[in-house]
Amino acid sequence: MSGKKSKNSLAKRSMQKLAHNKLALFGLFLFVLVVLSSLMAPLLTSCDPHYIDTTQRYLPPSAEHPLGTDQNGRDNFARLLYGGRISILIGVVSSLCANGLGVLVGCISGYGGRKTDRVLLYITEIFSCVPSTILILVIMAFAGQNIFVMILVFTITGWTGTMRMVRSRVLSLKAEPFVESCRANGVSSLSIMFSHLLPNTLGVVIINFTTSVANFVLNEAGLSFLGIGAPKGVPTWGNMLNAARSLNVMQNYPLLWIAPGVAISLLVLGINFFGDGLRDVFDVKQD
Amino acid sequence: MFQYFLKRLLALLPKVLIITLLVFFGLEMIPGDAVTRAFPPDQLRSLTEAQIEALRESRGLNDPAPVRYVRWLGDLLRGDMGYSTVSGNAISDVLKTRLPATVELCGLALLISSVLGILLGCTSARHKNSLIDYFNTTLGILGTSVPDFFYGMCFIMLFALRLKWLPTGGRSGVGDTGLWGNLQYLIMPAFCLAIGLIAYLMRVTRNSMLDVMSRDYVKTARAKGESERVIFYKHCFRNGCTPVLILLISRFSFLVAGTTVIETVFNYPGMGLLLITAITGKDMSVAMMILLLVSLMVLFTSFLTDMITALMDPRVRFGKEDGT
Amino acid sequence: MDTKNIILQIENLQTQFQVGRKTVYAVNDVSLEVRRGHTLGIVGESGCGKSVTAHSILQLLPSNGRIAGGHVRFAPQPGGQVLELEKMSRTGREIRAVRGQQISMVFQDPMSSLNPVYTIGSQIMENLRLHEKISRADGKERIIELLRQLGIPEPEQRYDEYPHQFSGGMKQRVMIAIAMICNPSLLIADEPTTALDVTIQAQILRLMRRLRSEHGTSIILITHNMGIVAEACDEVAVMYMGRVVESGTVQQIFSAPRHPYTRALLRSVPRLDMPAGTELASIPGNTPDASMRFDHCEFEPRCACACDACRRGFPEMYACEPGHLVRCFVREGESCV
Repeated sequence: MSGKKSKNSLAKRSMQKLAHNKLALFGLFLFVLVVLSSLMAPLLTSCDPHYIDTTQRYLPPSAEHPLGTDQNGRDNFARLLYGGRISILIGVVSSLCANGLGVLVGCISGYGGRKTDRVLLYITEIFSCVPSTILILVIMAFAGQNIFVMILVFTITGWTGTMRMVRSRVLSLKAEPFVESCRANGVSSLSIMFSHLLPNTLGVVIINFTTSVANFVLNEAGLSFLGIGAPKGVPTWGNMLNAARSLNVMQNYPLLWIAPGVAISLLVLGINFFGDGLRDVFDVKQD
Repeated sequence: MFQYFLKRLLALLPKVLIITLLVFFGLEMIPGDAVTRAFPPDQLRSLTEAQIEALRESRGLNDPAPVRYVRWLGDLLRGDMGYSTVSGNAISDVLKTRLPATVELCGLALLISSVLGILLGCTSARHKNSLIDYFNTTLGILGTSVPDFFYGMCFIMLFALRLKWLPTGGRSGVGDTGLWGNLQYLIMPAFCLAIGLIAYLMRVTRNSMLDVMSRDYVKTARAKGESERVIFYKHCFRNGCTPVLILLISRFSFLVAGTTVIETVFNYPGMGLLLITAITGKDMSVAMMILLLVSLMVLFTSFLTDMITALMDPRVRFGKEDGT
Repeated sequence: MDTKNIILQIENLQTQFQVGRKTVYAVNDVSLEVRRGHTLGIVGESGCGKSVTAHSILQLLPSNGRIAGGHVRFAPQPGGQVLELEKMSRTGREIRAVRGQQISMVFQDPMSSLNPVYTIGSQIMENLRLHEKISRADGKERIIELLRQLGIPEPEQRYDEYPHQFSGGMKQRVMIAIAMICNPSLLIADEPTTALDVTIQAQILRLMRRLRSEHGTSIILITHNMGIVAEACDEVAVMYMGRVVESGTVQQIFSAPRHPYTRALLRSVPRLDMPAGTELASIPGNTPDASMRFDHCEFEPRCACACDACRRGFPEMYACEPGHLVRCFVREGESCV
């Protein structure tokens, strides 16, 4: 088959289409900017985000502390940069896990027999009955505050969307003649699933991946803001916002909460713009 | 139609069972039981092991789990939700004051978001690829990208602290009477809660309307000589809004989930804030009850969605289900 | 314009679509005349622009399409005023008064052409009350009468039913009812039978013939089926790549086709009197992409009798006999397959 060549040209065409979408490029730029600046945190600041100095509380911005210091005298700018690392890490890793699980279950459900499909679909339905945020809250309360628990919880609650999409895609692909002909030619089920069906679901999965990164970053921020996410003291954007829940900080030291808020917004905005562009490229309808 | 109604209602039962089972086991996992919870620690220490065991026996705590589960379900149906492990108050009493507050908040948010979302979505669809459309789309992405509590904090900063138009939070203060007295506490939290939904609904409405506008029956209406306005509102709106309405209701769970954060930001004494205080205070029985309540509410709304779909769409109404 | 005999005249119509940065030339040069009380058939392969021509008459084009040139003249009454439809604004009051009342359309797919959320009665009523001052009760009576005429059983009950309760053939009858309720002087039927079973096709065609004889409605019938043309039309226009390549009466076209394309089309229709074992002819090659622009006869690449002249420029329409027009360099008497 001439599959290889046409696939390459398809990828090339997609890239060209993406390159024409200015909003998507802008999104990618924002995303890369935020990610890079948090990765290169040690180059951008010499302050330690954990260093507490109670004599230096609530300092206004200065050359030494570009965004001032927080209620414990820690450098706000350093916390912002290093905090991005953990927020992004949680977002990306959870999204990888959740989408991986979703793809796996979706494939099994779509390609397996009717019975398997029904059982798995029923399980996802149960999962979608419980609002994920509230489930996350309760599980976090049981399991305690820990970054790995958080990733685990996000994975458990976040896979159903991908599963549904992959399943319906696989189901419709299964009915196509090319699967029939593969089977007639003696290709094994597993090989049909992984080399023929899975690549066809790639567009949907990539888009889902971007949106779930955005969602998990927001979720992490929300949880930490509520004080039940990442452990206290770990610099994440949510924790920084949590510290600013008192009216005193909110009114008098706006930089402490506006900075992480804007950082989250920029990151998520970038991901969403980029995801939107991808959606146009892959021509996937959103519902 | 009635058959359809019954069928959907029956389909709910196994889900209700599974959710209640999960919550039951969650409650079982909480250390201690009804007896150890009934006495203060020092009094508990003075009791002998045998005395405690006798108390357990008398309250049926040694029965096998299925029996206890059924009894617990019966208690639930009678409105007895058990007691808080921390404060010792009846959970149903606490919820009695908190639930209406959250319902009010969600109701207003639902109203705001459906009106604004559908309105913006329709203008976007009617003027596809115009400046207004791009503006709306950008606004929509902005709405879903900024965390809702950050909006909340900005609003408090601007409208409550700087401009002093609205209170920073709470539900009602001394001397607040009349519509405005109550409404002023609701405006900011309801709007913050609505923002995400507005953006979502706008997008869905736009897509749905564009889809409907390209249908053949719109061409038929045009061939009849109908004006564009009538075509839009008579032929497109109803067909385009049915899926939007359904998605609106299906998003109800997101709204409820959003109350946790929003009620915390605005210190609004509803169920969301109750859940957060319960969790931070390790009051697990209250948390599990709220989880149960919200899950059942979501189940019920999904049932409601099916019913409304059926009522809106003559194809389903007359029993011609396509099985999806 | 001879308003006594001609009800609609299309002259050098051009319609274009803007798709991204590309312009698609769907209709390049179409001139047609519809005679009062007659049926004109427009035939051609899919993509030849026949449907776009029909939609251009009432300006029912999608928002990326526009009429780039030519005239569409419509004379509702013999000796009356002549309306220039192409000059009207596409959403304006003037053209809306023509649509549905004087010229109405029946579309290809009856399944999707009716709004699923309204009863069929209310959808016919919509057209009636839009153009005539009539009470609901009187209107209902008239609609039920028309439905009965159109062969819909138990019209009183079916009046309050929804489209999904109708079969394809019945839906198309409802579409015809919507089109006919205001007694239009011209009915445009865009492949009205393509989506239907063969037996239903025959019923619908018979119905349209009856309407013409009873109401004196002129009809434009768009189809790709030569058999339907032979059965239902008085005049024919054959289209290829957005141009009319041959037109004349059914008699003229079927007994003495002149254009190589028409001949090929006719050869590809199976007939009962063919000797057994005869292979059906097919036209070599495919219809070219509509966004391509030619500098010479568009049919040349697929034509069996193309000559040098064909590669140099466009042929003009000429009358090979009264009323029979052909657009081809190969004239009568010259040898060709």
